[in-house]
Amino acid sequence: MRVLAIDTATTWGSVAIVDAAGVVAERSAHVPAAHLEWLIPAIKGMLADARVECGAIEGLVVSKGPGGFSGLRIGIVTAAAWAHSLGRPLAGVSTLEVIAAGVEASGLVLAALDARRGEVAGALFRRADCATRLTPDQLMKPDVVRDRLPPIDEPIVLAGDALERHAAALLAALSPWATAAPPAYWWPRAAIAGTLGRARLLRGERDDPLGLLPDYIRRPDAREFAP
Amino acid sequence: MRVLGIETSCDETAASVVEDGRTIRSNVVASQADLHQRFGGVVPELASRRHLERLLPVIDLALEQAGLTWSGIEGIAVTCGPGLVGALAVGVAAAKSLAFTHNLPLIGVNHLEGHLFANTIDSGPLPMSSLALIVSGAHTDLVLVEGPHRYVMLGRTRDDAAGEAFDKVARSMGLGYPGGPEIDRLGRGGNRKAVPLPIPFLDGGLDFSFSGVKTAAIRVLAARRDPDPQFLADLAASLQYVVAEALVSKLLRAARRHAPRAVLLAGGVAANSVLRSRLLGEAGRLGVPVLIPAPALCTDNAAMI
Ligand SMILES: [Zn+2]
Repeated sequence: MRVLAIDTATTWGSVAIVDAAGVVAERSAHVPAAHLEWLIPAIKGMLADARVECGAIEGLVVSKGPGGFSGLRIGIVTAAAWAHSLGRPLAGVSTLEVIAAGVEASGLVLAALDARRGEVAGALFRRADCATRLTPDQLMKPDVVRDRLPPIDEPIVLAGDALERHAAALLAALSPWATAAPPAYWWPRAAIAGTLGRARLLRGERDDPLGLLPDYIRRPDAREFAP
Repeated sequence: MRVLGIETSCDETAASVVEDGRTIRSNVVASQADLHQRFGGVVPELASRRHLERLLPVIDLALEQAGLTWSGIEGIAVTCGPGLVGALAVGVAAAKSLAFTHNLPLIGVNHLEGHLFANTIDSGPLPMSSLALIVSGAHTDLVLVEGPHRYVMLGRTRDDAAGEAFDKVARSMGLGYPGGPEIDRLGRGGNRKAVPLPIPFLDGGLDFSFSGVKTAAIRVLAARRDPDPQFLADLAASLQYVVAEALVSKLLRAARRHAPRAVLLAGGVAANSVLRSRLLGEAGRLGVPVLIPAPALCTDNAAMI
């Protein structure tokens, strides 16, 4: 099965084609607040490079958060509209799982995304052949993440864009076990999302394109009115 | 040409199929009014979330009611602004994806031009030049339409939009959101002279101001210890009267200056019955056609897009 994967959960946008042979093509760019302009041209260009027709995409995979609300909606509605109107199966994958699965290390991984307002959205995974989830996604203050996780007494790798702003606090909170992954592992890649999502689709798991919504984690701030 | 229109700029999730610019094959509008009602205004993040939940089912319904499948659609039009950025993004992203996957031409449409051109659905091409009053919860603009995409802004509100004044007074009266239709309904049983409110004429220019009359109405309401239903109806009637009076008198003034070939009303407040009849009453004096879209095409919809 040849799938198109989309990740627009962070300030990076990433798209990939994954099939039985593995990752066929991938495009990523730093597009803060510009996912909408970037996404379709990136997909179009990537399909052309890989000589894949739009109709030859047999499944859609999308990173469903946590992450930036607007970016997530853009990715999800793009994938869902495509899947629904052409009758292709759709799988949403956790952005934190995509980050954890991308880390090339074994052992504990804390995937954490910047959730604004001084908080991170994080989850703990154990990496071996694949990333096994140990906790649900949680909203946490970086300096007290240890209180929110199972006891940690072994080396743990931190990854995700929360490291941009909160590396020091996270490392201190998980001292002496924690090390930060290199910045290449801080942003989710569609190649990883596509690999995870394709496996789910092959197992027959799929999401309803009319019902797939972002894992927002945070409730909207209703005090924030339109001007 | 059969075009699928998509509109998600504010708090209506809408999709429509229009054939050859005149025949509405379907016009589906899912209102979010219930969602924003308790806040008395639109909460942008809530609106964006709801658009994502509703858009694809609304598009399905628009196709179904038009009796079409994707193979019957020849183009897609989507509102690209102005509006709430996050809300617009949902409609535009869906439109781009659908246009790409079905290999259809895609056009971005300005929301206010959409309101203006809602008049062409019933009335055919607009005579040029036309004088237009776009009046909604966000806009009160007096515009000279010289041609497609050629506009001269003659006047606008210096503070609240007319629809905003209705919404805010309605909120103080304990009515639902959006307030315009509620005020319209309530005012039918009222006497427009019973509660005197100042008519906001401003100076001899073409700009508007509605914050003064809004404040005056809220003050009159607050001063009344136990407002009975008749008082509320009178207040609603009076508010509509002064707002319509200000809008129409500036429209007439602009018409005298610019001698347009037609006068148009557009936007959500163009659905207001007092404003409609007040303007139609002036049609003879204007000597040019007065065009007002059907009420369902005044409020936000995708047929106009
Ligand atoms: Zn509007």
